[in-house]
Amino acid sequence: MSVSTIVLIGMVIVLGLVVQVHPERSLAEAMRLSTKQAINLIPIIIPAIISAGFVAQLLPSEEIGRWVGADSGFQGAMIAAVFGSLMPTGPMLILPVVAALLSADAGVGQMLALLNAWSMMNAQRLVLYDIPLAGPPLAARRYLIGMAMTPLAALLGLVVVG
Amino acid sequence: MTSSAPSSAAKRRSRGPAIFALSLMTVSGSLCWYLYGWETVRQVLFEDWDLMVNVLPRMALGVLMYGLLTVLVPRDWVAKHMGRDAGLKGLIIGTLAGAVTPGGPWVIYPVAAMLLRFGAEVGAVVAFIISWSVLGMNRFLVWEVSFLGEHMATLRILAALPLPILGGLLIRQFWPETRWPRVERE
Repeated sequence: MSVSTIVLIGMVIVLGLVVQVHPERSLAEAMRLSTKQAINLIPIIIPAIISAGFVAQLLPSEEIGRWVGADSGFQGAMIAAVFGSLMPTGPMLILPVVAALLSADAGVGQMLALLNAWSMMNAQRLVLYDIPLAGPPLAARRYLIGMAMTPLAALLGLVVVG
Repeated sequence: MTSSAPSSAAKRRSRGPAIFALSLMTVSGSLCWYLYGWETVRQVLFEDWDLMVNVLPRMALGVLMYGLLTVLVPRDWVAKHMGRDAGLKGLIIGTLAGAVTPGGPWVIYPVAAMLLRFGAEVGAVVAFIISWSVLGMNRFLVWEVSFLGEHMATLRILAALPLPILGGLLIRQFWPETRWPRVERE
């Protein structure tokens, strides 16, 4: 069993106990929310996992190695970051794609840049959620700040890998 | 309190990604079969099975944590400590709160709107939103560790660590006293 699984199990137990000793918090309510979330996730995660293998098989690894390989440096990291910020998708596609890119010779730092740029500026989220839920002024400003920080995200990806 | 999502966004969410994932599976699978033949497809499916055995138990734990944290996180306390005078502390609290708050955008934005209305300062709220998107613990443990492995997922968190606080500082610098629109639909 991996460390993160153990951490996760520990956290679930501790949180469950905390909810249990708080009289005003309801364990049943927590379980209801969890069940709802699970029902939402299952039809997404299973096809996503199956797709992951197919996508890995289909990606043109040599091309990718040239654009965002480990030797592509800051320029490659920026290409990856811009690509990430344009990906109109949730984690169920981007993570399998990144896993596949990694096995197809993409650089680790470049992929970190891609993921962080995608997290900050996911285009699908901007249209579907940021603008309707946060309102255009806050959404636009947060997005601009994300863009301003993209070179930093690219740089940090490279720095962390060393 | 704010966990009741805006119904239109929630509905849009519930079907779209599943349909997308199913289409992706069908299209990529067919392409693989067309280009490489049935043997490759079968081999890929065997490898996917290993991944699934790895991911699904973790996903179950993450979902449990989602429910527990949703009933636990003291949102009004957070709002009180993210106010105008909170300074760097407000940014740090916003960052920590964003990292542990579970749920998708349909949870996070109503919470952000609530924080603003309760008097939280905008830099801290932006740090909260950015932190949720780059440091979210739930996504880290459930999705990223499963697909990328512990090492890569941890590196990603390290690379993202300065981003929420910097984002909060930037928004304080450029738009400190903007009047935020009242956010309807909660």
